[in-house]
Amino acid sequence: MEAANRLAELYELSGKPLKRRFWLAKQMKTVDAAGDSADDRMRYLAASASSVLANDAFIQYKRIKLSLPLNEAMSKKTKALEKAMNAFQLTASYGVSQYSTEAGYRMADIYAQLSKDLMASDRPDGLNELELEQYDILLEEQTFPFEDSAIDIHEQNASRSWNGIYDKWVKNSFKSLRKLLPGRYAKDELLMGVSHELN
Amino acid sequence: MNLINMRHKAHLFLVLISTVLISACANNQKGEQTEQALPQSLESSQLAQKFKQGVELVEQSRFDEAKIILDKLHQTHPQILGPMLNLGHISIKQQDFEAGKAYYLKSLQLKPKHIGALISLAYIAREEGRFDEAENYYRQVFEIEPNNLMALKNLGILLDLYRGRLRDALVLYEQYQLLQKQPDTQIKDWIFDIKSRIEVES
Repeated sequence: MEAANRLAELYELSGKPLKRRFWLAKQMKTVDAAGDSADDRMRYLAASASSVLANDAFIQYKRIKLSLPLNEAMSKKTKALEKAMNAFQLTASYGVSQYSTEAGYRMADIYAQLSKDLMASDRPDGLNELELEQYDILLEEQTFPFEDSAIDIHEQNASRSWNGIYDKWVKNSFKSLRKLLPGRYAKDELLMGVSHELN
Repeated sequence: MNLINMRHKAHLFLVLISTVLISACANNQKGEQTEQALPQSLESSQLAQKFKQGVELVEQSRFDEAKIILDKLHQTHPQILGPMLNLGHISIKQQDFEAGKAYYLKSLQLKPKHIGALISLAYIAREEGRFDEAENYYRQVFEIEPNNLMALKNLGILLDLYRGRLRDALVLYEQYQLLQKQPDTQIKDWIFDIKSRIEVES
Protein backbone atom coordinates (compact mmCIF):
# COMPACT_ATOMS: atom_id res chain seq x y z
CA MET A 1 0.00 0.00 0.00
CA GLU A 2 2.74 2.47 1.00
CA ALA A 3 4.80 1.46 -2.02
CA ALA A 4 1.84 2.07 -4.34
CA ASN A 5 1.34 5.45 -2.71
CA ARG A 6 5.02 6.32 -3.14
CA LEU A 7 4.93 5.33 -6.80
CA ALA A 8 1.80 7.45 -7.35
CA GLU A 9 3.62 10.40 -5.75
CA LEU A 10 6.70 9.87 -7.90
CA TYR A 11 4.63 9.70 -11.10
CA GLU A 12 2.84 12.88 -10.07
CA LEU A 13 6.19 14.63 -9.61
CA SER A 14 7.51 13.36 -12.93
CA GLY A 15 4.35 14.45 -14.76
CA LYS A 16 3.03 11.02 -15.76
CA PRO A 17 -0.68 11.23 -14.93
CA LEU A 18 -1.76 7.90 -16.41
CA LYS A 19 0.84 5.92 -14.47
CA ARG A 20 -0.07 7.90 -11.35
CA ARG A 21 -3.72 6.97 -11.76
CA PHE A 22 -2.84 3.30 -12.21
CA TRP A 23 -1.18 3.30 -8.78
CA LEU A 24 -3.98 5.33 -7.22
CA ALA A 25 -6.52 2.77 -8.44
CA LYS A 26 -4.25 0.01 -7.11
CA GLN A 27 -4.41 1.52 -3.62
CA MET A 28 -8.20 1.58 -3.74
CA LYS A 29 -8.34 -2.05 -4.89
CA THR A 30 -6.07 -3.10 -2.05
CA VAL A 31 -8.30 -1.44 0.55
CA ASP A 32 -11.51 -2.70 -1.06
CA ALA A 33 -10.10 -6.24 -0.95
CA ALA A 34 -8.96 -5.85 2.66
CA GLY A 35 -12.49 -4.95 3.81
CA ASP A 36 -12.73 -4.47 7.57
CA SER A 37 -9.11 -5.38 8.09
CA ALA A 38 -7.99 -2.13 6.40
CA ASP A 39 -6.59 0.25 8.99
CA ASP A 40 -7.08 4.05 9.21
CA ARG A 41 -3.94 4.82 7.24
CA MET A 42 -4.98 2.49 4.42
CA ARG A 43 -8.46 4.00 4.30
CA TYR A 44 -6.98 7.50 4.29
CA LEU A 45 -4.75 6.67 1.33
CA ALA A 46 -7.62 5.00 -0.52
CA ALA A 47 -9.91 7.98 0.10
CA SER A 48 -7.21 10.36 -1.12
CA ALA A 49 -6.62 8.24 -4.24
CA SER A 50 -10.33 7.93 -4.86
CA SER A 51 -10.76 11.69 -4.56
CA VAL A 52 -8.28 12.28 -7.40
CA LEU A 53 -10.10 9.83 -9.68
CA ALA A 54 -13.51 11.23 -8.73
CA ASN A 55 -12.33 14.75 -9.56
CA ASP A 56 -11.22 13.46 -12.98
CA ALA A 57 -14.75 12.17 -13.55
CA PHE A 58 -16.12 15.51 -12.37
CA ILE A 59 -13.96 17.41 -14.88
CA GLN A 60 -15.14 15.07 -17.67
CA TYR A 61 -18.74 15.76 -16.65
CA LYS A 62 -18.23 19.52 -16.61
CA ARG A 63 -16.70 19.50 -20.10
CA ILE A 64 -19.87 18.19 -21.76
CA LYS A 65 -21.84 21.15 -23.07
CA LEU A 66 -25.57 20.95 -23.46
CA SER A 67 -25.72 21.85 -27.13
CA LEU A 68 -28.38 20.89 -29.64
CA PRO A 69 -29.81 18.33 -30.10
CA LEU A 70 -30.43 18.51 -26.38
CA ASN A 71 -31.57 14.90 -25.97
CA GLU A 72 -28.30 13.59 -27.29
CA ALA A 73 -26.17 15.96 -25.23
CA MET A 74 -28.28 15.28 -22.16
CA SER A 75 -27.77 11.55 -22.53
CA LYS A 76 -23.98 11.99 -22.58
CA LYS A 77 -24.13 14.42 -19.69
CA THR A 78 -26.29 12.05 -17.59
CA LYS A 79 -23.86 9.17 -18.14
CA ALA A 80 -20.94 11.37 -17.08
CA LEU A 81 -22.97 12.53 -14.10
CA GLU A 82 -23.60 8.97 -12.93
CA LYS A 83 -19.93 8.11 -13.30
CA ALA A 84 -18.86 11.15 -11.27
CA MET A 85 -21.53 10.55 -8.63
CA ASN A 86 -20.48 6.91 -8.20
CA ALA A 87 -16.86 7.97 -7.92
CA PHE A 88 -17.60 10.51 -5.19
CA GLN A 89 -19.85 8.04 -3.35
CA LEU A 90 -16.92 5.64 -3.32
CA THR A 91 -14.68 8.39 -1.91
CA ALA A 92 -17.19 9.08 0.86
CA SER A 93 -17.51 5.35 1.60
CA TYR A 94 -13.96 5.21 3.02
CA GLY A 95 -15.24 7.27 5.93
CA VAL A 96 -12.38 9.76 6.03
CA SER A 97 -13.88 13.07 7.12
CA GLN A 98 -11.89 15.48 4.95
CA TYR A 99 -12.59 13.48 1.79
CA SER A 100 -16.21 12.72 2.70
CA THR A 101 -17.00 16.42 3.05
CA GLU A 102 -15.34 17.14 -0.29
CA ALA A 103 -17.30 14.32 -1.92
CA GLY A 104 -20.52 15.65 -0.39
CA TYR A 105 -19.88 19.14 -1.68
CA ARG A 106 -18.95 17.91 -5.16
CA MET A 107 -22.00 15.65 -5.47
CA ALA A 108 -24.31 18.52 -4.58
CA ASP A 109 -22.42 20.81 -6.93
CA ILE A 110 -22.84 18.35 -9.81
CA TYR A 111 -26.63 18.62 -9.51
CA ALA A 112 -26.53 22.39 -9.03
CA GLN A 113 -24.32 22.70 -12.09
CA LEU A 114 -26.63 20.53 -14.18
CA SER A 115 -29.54 22.73 -13.24
CA LYS A 116 -27.60 25.85 -14.35
CA ASP A 117 -26.33 24.16 -17.54
CA LEU A 118 -29.86 23.18 -18.52
CA MET A 119 -31.07 26.74 -18.19
CA ALA A 120 -28.07 27.99 -20.18
CA SER A 121 -28.37 25.32 -22.90
CA ASP A 122 -28.84 26.21 -26.57
CA ARG A 123 -32.38 27.00 -27.62
CA PRO A 124 -33.77 25.36 -30.80
CA ASP A 125 -33.89 27.57 -33.87
CA GLY A 126 -37.14 28.75 -35.37
CA LEU A 127 -39.16 29.19 -32.19
CA ASN A 128 -41.41 32.20 -31.97
CA GLU A 129 -41.60 34.31 -28.81
CA LEU A 130 -44.44 32.31 -27.27
CA GLU A 131 -42.83 28.95 -28.09
CA LEU A 132 -39.54 30.14 -26.67
CA GLU A 133 -41.28 31.16 -23.46
CA GLN A 134 -42.96 27.75 -23.21
CA TYR A 135 -39.63 26.04 -23.90
CA ASP A 136 -38.03 28.03 -21.06
CA ILE A 137 -40.83 27.05 -18.68
CA LEU A 138 -40.35 23.41 -19.66
CA LEU A 139 -36.61 23.66 -19.04
CA GLU A 140 -37.20 25.33 -15.69
CA GLU A 141 -39.46 22.47 -14.64
CA GLN A 142 -36.72 20.02 -15.61
CA THR A 143 -34.19 21.81 -13.42
CA PHE A 144 -36.24 21.73 -10.19
CA PRO A 145 -35.46 18.11 -9.22
CA PHE A 146 -31.74 18.70 -9.79
CA GLU A 147 -31.81 21.84 -7.67
CA ASP A 148 -33.70 19.97 -4.93
CA SER A 149 -31.10 17.20 -4.98
CA ALA A 150 -28.32 19.79 -4.76
CA ILE A 151 -30.02 21.37 -1.74
CA ASP A 152 -30.55 18.00 -0.03
CA ILE A 153 -26.92 16.95 -0.40
CA HIS A 154 -25.54 20.36 0.58
CA GLU A 155 -27.78 20.32 3.66
CA GLN A 156 -26.46 16.89 4.64
CA ASN A 157 -22.92 18.16 4.22
CA ALA A 158 -23.58 21.39 6.14
CA SER A 159 -25.20 19.47 8.98
CA ARG A 160 -21.82 17.86 9.69
CA SER A 161 -21.12 21.10 11.58
CA TRP A 162 -23.63 19.87 14.18
CA ASN A 163 -21.01 17.28 15.09
CA GLY A 164 -18.20 19.83 15.05
CA ILE A 165 -16.98 19.19 11.50
CA TYR A 166 -16.48 22.55 9.84
CA ASP A 167 -13.83 22.27 7.15
CA LYS A 168 -13.48 24.05 3.81
CA TRP A 169 -16.07 21.81 2.10
CA VAL A 170 -18.69 22.17 4.82
CA LYS A 171 -18.18 25.95 4.65
CA ASN A 172 -18.57 25.78 0.86
CA SER A 173 -21.84 23.90 1.27
CA PHE A 174 -23.09 26.67 3.58
CA LYS A 175 -22.05 29.24 0.94
CA SER A 176 -23.92 27.36 -1.80
CA LEU A 177 -27.00 27.03 0.39
CA ARG A 178 -27.04 30.80 0.90
CA LYS A 179 -27.77 31.08 -2.83
CA LEU A 180 -29.91 27.97 -3.28
CA LEU A 181 -32.08 28.47 -0.19
CA PRO A 182 -31.54 32.05 1.00
CA GLY A 183 -34.60 32.17 3.25
CA ARG A 184 -33.01 29.54 5.47
CA TYR A 185 -29.30 29.99 4.99
CA ALA A 186 -28.61 33.65 4.13
CA LYS A 187 -28.53 34.61 7.79
CA ASP A 188 -25.91 37.16 8.71
CA GLU A 189 -24.80 37.74 12.25
CA LEU A 190 -24.77 41.30 13.55
CA LEU A 191 -21.25 42.63 13.96
CA MET A 192 -19.80 45.43 16.03
CA GLY A 193 -19.14 48.55 13.99
CA VAL A 194 -16.28 51.00 14.23
CA SER A 195 -15.49 52.16 17.76
CA HIS A 196 -15.54 55.95 18.02
CA GLU A 197 -14.65 56.02 21.68
CA LEU A 198 -10.96 56.47 22.44
CA ASN A 199 -11.30 54.64 25.73
CA MET B 1 12.87 91.84 79.16
CA ASN B 2 15.43 92.18 76.45
CA LEU B 3 15.80 88.49 76.45
CA ILE B 4 12.01 88.09 76.06
CA ASN B 5 12.03 90.62 73.22
CA MET B 6 14.90 88.87 71.57
CA ARG B 7 13.09 85.51 71.84
CA HIS B 8 9.88 87.07 70.51
CA LYS B 9 11.75 88.62 67.59
CA ALA B 10 13.50 85.36 66.90
CA HIS B 11 10.17 83.53 66.99
CA LEU B 12 8.59 86.08 64.62
CA PHE B 13 11.59 85.76 62.33
CA LEU B 14 11.26 81.99 62.28
CA VAL B 15 7.53 82.18 61.56
CA LEU B 16 8.22 84.67 58.77
CA ILE B 17 10.96 82.54 57.27
CA SER B 18 8.73 79.41 57.47
CA THR B 19 5.83 81.25 55.79
CA VAL B 20 8.09 82.50 53.02
CA LEU B 21 9.57 79.06 52.53
CA ILE B 22 6.16 77.29 52.49
CA SER B 23 4.78 79.86 50.11
CA ALA B 24 7.82 79.50 47.85
CA CYS B 25 7.42 75.73 47.85
CA ALA B 26 3.73 76.02 47.03
CA ASN B 27 4.47 78.41 44.16
CA ASN B 28 7.15 76.07 42.92
CA GLN B 29 4.73 73.11 43.01
CA LYS B 30 2.18 75.14 41.03
CA GLY B 31 4.88 75.97 38.53
CA GLU B 32 5.82 72.31 38.11
CA GLN B 33 2.19 71.36 37.67
CA THR B 34 1.77 73.91 34.90
CA GLU B 35 4.91 72.72 33.18
CA GLN B 36 3.70 69.06 33.28
CA ALA B 37 0.08 69.75 32.33
CA LEU B 38 0.93 71.49 29.10
CA PRO B 39 2.57 68.56 27.25
CA GLN B 40 0.00 66.08 28.62
CA SER B 41 -2.93 68.03 27.19
CA LEU B 42 -1.04 68.52 23.95
CA GLU B 43 -0.31 64.83 23.82
CA SER B 44 -3.91 63.85 24.52
CA SER B 45 -5.22 66.18 21.85
CA GLN B 46 -2.73 64.74 19.37
CA LEU B 47 -3.76 61.26 20.43
CA ALA B 48 -7.45 62.06 19.93
CA GLN B 49 -6.67 63.59 16.55
CA LYS B 50 -4.70 60.56 15.39
CA PHE B 51 -7.41 58.22 16.66
CA LYS B 52 -10.05 60.19 14.79
CA GLN B 53 -7.96 59.98 11.65
CA GLY B 54 -7.65 56.21 12.08
CA VAL B 55 -11.38 55.81 12.65
CA GLU B 56 -12.17 57.83 9.51
CA LEU B 57 -9.93 55.57 7.47
CA VAL B 58 -11.66 52.47 8.88
CA GLU B 59 -15.01 53.97 7.93
CA GLN B 60 -13.73 54.50 4.41
CA SER B 61 -12.60 50.82 4.37
CA ARG B 62 -8.99 52.01 3.92
CA PHE B 63 -7.96 49.30 6.33
CA ASP B 64 -4.23 49.07 5.63
CA GLU B 65 -3.72 52.81 6.15
CA ALA B 66 -5.92 52.78 9.25
CA LYS B 67 -3.98 49.84 10.61
CA ILE B 68 -0.68 51.77 10.49
CA ILE B 69 -2.09 54.68 12.50
CA LEU B 70 -4.05 52.58 14.99
CA ASP B 71 -1.23 50.13 15.50
CA LYS B 72 1.16 52.98 16.33
CA LEU B 73 -1.37 54.33 18.84
CA HIS B 74 -1.79 50.86 20.30
CA GLN B 75 1.98 50.43 20.67
CA THR B 76 2.43 53.78 22.43
CA HIS B 77 -0.78 53.59 24.48
CA PRO B 78 -1.50 49.91 25.11
CA GLN B 79 -3.86 50.84 27.96
CA ILE B 80 -6.31 52.59 25.61
CA LEU B 81 -9.21 50.52 24.31
CA GLY B 82 -10.27 52.40 21.15
CA PRO B 83 -7.34 51.56 18.85
CA MET B 84 -7.42 47.93 19.99
CA LEU B 85 -11.14 47.50 19.25
CA ASN B 86 -10.77 49.06 15.81
CA LEU B 87 -7.74 46.92 15.04
CA GLY B 88 -9.91 43.92 15.94
CA HIS B 89 -12.64 45.24 13.67
CA ILE B 90 -10.17 45.60 10.77
CA SER B 91 -8.89 42.07 11.40
CA ILE B 92 -12.41 40.67 11.07
CA LYS B 93 -12.99 42.65 7.87
CA GLN B 94 -9.73 41.28 6.49
CA GLN B 95 -10.59 37.75 7.64
CA ASP B 96 -7.49 37.67 9.84
CA PHE B 97 -9.29 35.98 12.70
CA GLU B 98 -6.17 35.08 14.65
CA ALA B 99 -5.13 38.74 14.92
CA GLY B 100 -8.72 39.76 15.67
CA LYS B 101 -8.94 37.26 18.49
CA ALA B 102 -5.70 38.59 20.02
CA TYR B 103 -6.93 42.23 19.97
CA TYR B 104 -10.30 41.38 21.51
CA LEU B 105 -8.76 39.18 24.20
CA LYS B 106 -6.44 42.07 25.11
CA SER B 107 -9.48 44.39 25.19
CA LEU B 108 -11.14 42.05 27.66
CA GLN B 109 -8.08 42.23 29.89
CA LEU B 110 -8.65 46.00 30.13
CA LYS B 111 -12.42 45.78 30.36
CA PRO B 112 -13.59 42.23 31.14
CA LYS B 113 -17.27 43.00 30.54
CA HIS B 114 -16.90 44.70 27.18
CA ILE B 115 -19.90 43.44 25.25
CA GLY B 116 -18.49 44.43 21.85
CA ALA B 117 -15.32 42.44 22.45
CA LEU B 118 -17.32 39.40 23.67
CA ILE B 119 -19.63 39.46 20.63
CA SER B 120 -16.68 39.84 18.27
CA LEU B 121 -14.89 36.92 19.92
CA ALA B 122 -18.05 34.84 19.57
CA TYR B 123 -18.23 35.69 15.88
CA ILE B 124 -14.58 34.74 15.34
CA ALA B 125 -15.04 31.46 17.22
CA ARG B 126 -18.05 30.65 15.03
CA GLU B 127 -16.14 31.50 11.87
CA GLU B 128 -13.39 29.14 12.96
CA GLY B 129 -15.79 26.34 13.86
CA ARG B 130 -15.31 26.57 17.65
CA PHE B 131 -19.04 26.55 18.23
CA ASP B 132 -19.08 25.77 21.96
CA GLU B 133 -16.67 28.64 22.58
CA ALA B 134 -18.85 30.97 20.51
CA GLU B 135 -21.92 29.98 22.51
CA ASN B 136 -20.01 30.55 25.73
CA TYR B 137 -19.12 34.13 24.74
CA TYR B 138 -22.76 34.88 23.92
CA ARG B 139 -23.81 33.45 27.30
CA GLN B 140 -21.30 35.82 28.95
CA VAL B 141 -23.00 38.72 27.17
CA PHE B 142 -26.38 37.62 28.57
CA GLU B 143 -24.92 37.65 32.08
CA ILE B 144 -24.08 41.33 31.57
CA GLU B 145 -27.10 42.28 29.46
CA PRO B 146 -29.81 39.57 29.27
CA ASN B 147 -31.68 41.20 26.38
CA ASN B 148 -28.74 42.10 24.20
CA LEU B 149 -30.22 42.05 20.70
CA MET B 150 -27.02 41.25 18.85
CA ALA B 151 -26.28 38.26 21.06
CA LEU B 152 -29.88 37.03 20.83
CA LYS B 153 -29.89 37.08 17.04
CA ASN B 154 -26.34 35.79 16.61
CA LEU B 155 -26.71 32.93 19.07
CA GLY B 156 -30.01 32.06 17.38
CA ILE B 157 -28.21 31.76 14.04
CA LEU B 158 -25.41 29.73 15.62
CA LEU B 159 -27.78 27.21 17.18
CA ASP B 160 -30.06 27.12 14.14
CA LEU B 161 -27.55 26.62 11.32
CA TYR B 162 -24.36 25.36 12.89
CA ARG B 163 -25.61 23.30 15.82
CA GLY B 164 -28.99 22.04 14.62
CA ARG B 165 -30.59 23.02 17.95
CA LEU B 166 -33.74 24.32 16.37
CA ARG B 167 -35.88 24.62 19.51
CA ASP B 168 -33.21 26.61 21.36
CA ALA B 169 -32.76 28.85 18.32
CA LEU B 170 -36.50 29.43 18.11
CA VAL B 171 -36.61 30.65 21.73
CA LEU B 172 -33.87 33.20 20.96
CA TYR B 173 -35.45 34.41 17.72
CA GLU B 174 -38.78 34.83 19.53
CA GLN B 175 -37.13 36.73 22.38
CA TYR B 176 -35.39 38.97 19.85
CA GLN B 177 -38.71 39.59 18.11
CA LEU B 178 -40.49 40.44 21.37
CA LEU B 179 -37.93 43.15 22.07
CA GLN B 180 -38.54 44.91 18.76
CA LYS B 181 -40.79 47.97 18.62
CA GLN B 182 -41.96 46.86 15.19
CA PRO B 183 -41.79 43.14 14.34
CA ASP B 184 -38.71 42.34 12.26
CA THR B 185 -40.09 40.78 9.04
CA GLN B 186 -36.92 38.81 8.39
CA ILE B 187 -37.00 37.25 11.85
CA LYS B 188 -40.71 36.58 11.37
CA ASP B 189 -39.85 34.49 8.29
CA TRP B 190 -37.07 32.69 10.16
CA ILE B 191 -39.47 31.82 12.98
CA PHE B 192 -42.01 30.50 10.52
CA ASP B 193 -39.39 28.39 8.74
CA ILE B 194 -37.83 27.01 11.91
CA LYS B 195 -41.27 26.07 13.29
CA SER B 196 -42.03 24.13 10.12
CA ARG B 197 -38.68 22.30 10.38
CA ILE B 198 -39.36 21.43 14.01
CA GLU B 199 -42.75 20.08 12.97
CA VAL B 200 -41.16 17.90 10.28
CA GLU B 201 -38.59 16.63 12.79
CA SER B 202 -41.21 15.62 15.32
